[in-house]
Amino acid sequence: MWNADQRRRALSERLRQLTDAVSGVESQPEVLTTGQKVLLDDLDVAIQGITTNFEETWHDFEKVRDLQERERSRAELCLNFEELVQTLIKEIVPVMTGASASLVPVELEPVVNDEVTAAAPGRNLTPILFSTPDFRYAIKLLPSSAEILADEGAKNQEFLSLCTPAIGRDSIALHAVLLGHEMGHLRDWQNDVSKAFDPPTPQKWRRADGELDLAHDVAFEAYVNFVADWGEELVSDIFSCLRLGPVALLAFPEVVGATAHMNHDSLSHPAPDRRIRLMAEMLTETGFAEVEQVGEVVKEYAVTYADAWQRAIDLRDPDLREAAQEAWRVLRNEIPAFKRRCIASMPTERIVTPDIWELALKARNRLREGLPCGEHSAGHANSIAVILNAAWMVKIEGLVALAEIIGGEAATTKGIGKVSQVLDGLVVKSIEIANMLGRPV
Amino acid sequence: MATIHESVRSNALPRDLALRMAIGRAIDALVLYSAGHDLSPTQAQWLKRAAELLRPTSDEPLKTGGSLANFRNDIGLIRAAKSVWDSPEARSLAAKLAEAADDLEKLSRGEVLPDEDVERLKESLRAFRNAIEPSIPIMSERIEKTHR
Repeated sequence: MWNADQRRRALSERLRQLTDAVSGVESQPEVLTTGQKVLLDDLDVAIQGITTNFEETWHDFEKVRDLQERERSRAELCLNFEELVQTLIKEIVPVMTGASASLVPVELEPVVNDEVTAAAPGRNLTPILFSTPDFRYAIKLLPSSAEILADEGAKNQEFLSLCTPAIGRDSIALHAVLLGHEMGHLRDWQNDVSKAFDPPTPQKWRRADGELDLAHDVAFEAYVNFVADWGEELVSDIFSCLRLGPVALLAFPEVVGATAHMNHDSLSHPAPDRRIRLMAEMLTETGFAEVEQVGEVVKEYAVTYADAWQRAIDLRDPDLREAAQEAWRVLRNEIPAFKRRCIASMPTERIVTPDIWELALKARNRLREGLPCGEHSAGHANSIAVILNAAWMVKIEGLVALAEIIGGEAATTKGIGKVSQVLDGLVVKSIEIANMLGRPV
Repeated sequence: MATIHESVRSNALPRDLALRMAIGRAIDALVLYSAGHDLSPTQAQWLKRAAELLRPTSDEPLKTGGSLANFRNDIGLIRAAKSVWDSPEARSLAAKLAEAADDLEKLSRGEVLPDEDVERLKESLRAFRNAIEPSIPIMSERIEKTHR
């Protein structure tokens, strides 16, 4: 029978699964990153605390004389903790098992650490890169033992997981998304850019006194979630353009690839074409539409997707279309304010301008010749924005010059892939060199 | 396979889970309080935490002019409250939530409430907790072939 004892057994099994997963990772300390080690120590504290807290309350319920109430309370206690343990298994185990150096771009770790510190100064955030077999990009806070155990006196330790697709470990597109868009989320979150928007309650769902008519509560909740989630995505795109320049836009359609329709909106993201329009506009406003080689591409994107914001919402779920349409209507009008707040919240030295282009062109020339571009003159490193934009210029040219140098073929599908792989390797090497020399922000 | 992007959220634990956990712990404390008319400091802390999360951001939540963060916080509370206390108005549901939060805080401070009030509070919290969907529904996926 499914009574409290059976629920306790189920919880115990979940806890054991979590403990086994932790032990499995702990038994291979040589493959653990520093961030993972800190996370594992913290998770040990959490598991110990969960077990103790649960046991104490289970035994305290002996005091309850009404047997039915005791049984019910114990069953609810088990469910409460089981849900928590399952969440930890879902959120933390993949982070621990997917972080080996062969799966994640460890060369980017110093850059990621630097960006996290700059985006969230004064916080004790430990970033952890991990990968999954999916084409999955994510940046998430992981629950610390202090949060799990609701322990207000515990150490102020926070963990930030950054998920990347294992198959794209060395891809320049991955680096651009991770350092541009995903870090943009952290900047948004830290500076409350998208959260500062106060969306109006749509007129048609309001009562005369301005309060929501609860007959529309489901639609309103969906509307609020669309405003929040899509707003975060738009703001992260803006931050990405400010931080990286054109490569933020150029890499984006490649990352989306054939996996999403350009004009399909999703529950979490506005359609890619709306985001391309935003990034092309942002880059034009910051002067990148005039830079050599890439400026024309930015202009082309701006023209091609000029009408993307006017288009009606195209969402698979018809029940949510109205809420999404309302959300897009208010978000569109908020974009200029989002831009202003992004610029105001970002340190000037972290915003890239067309002034980097001379260095980017020089770096492109080195990559064309099959040479890393981490250094622009003796002992002086290039920034990450210079390296990534330079690499993308080589891609835009169809990799022809690089193919000639390395004796590859830029005319066949197989050959292009191989030359591209060489370029990825040159970029990784360039980042390593720049890290060693003291990469400028 | 779709490319999936997820974004950072302000809390590491999903809000619904944090709310269900906090209310669950408050129910535990109320059960033990009913059994012995006594609360440990830890149990008092559970009640305080649940009170913080249950209280809407304003007496008039969901009124136009509110902030995104407040709307997001309050709409979840009001929708769950709607299934506990039958009322068509956000304002009166907010009052019920605030009343429950007040009672939890009183108990956490060591004030005494009549047994029937504690019992009513406990059952309201149980209903409220059930109204919030578990954060990880267990499901088996069914894949259909479609020709749309």
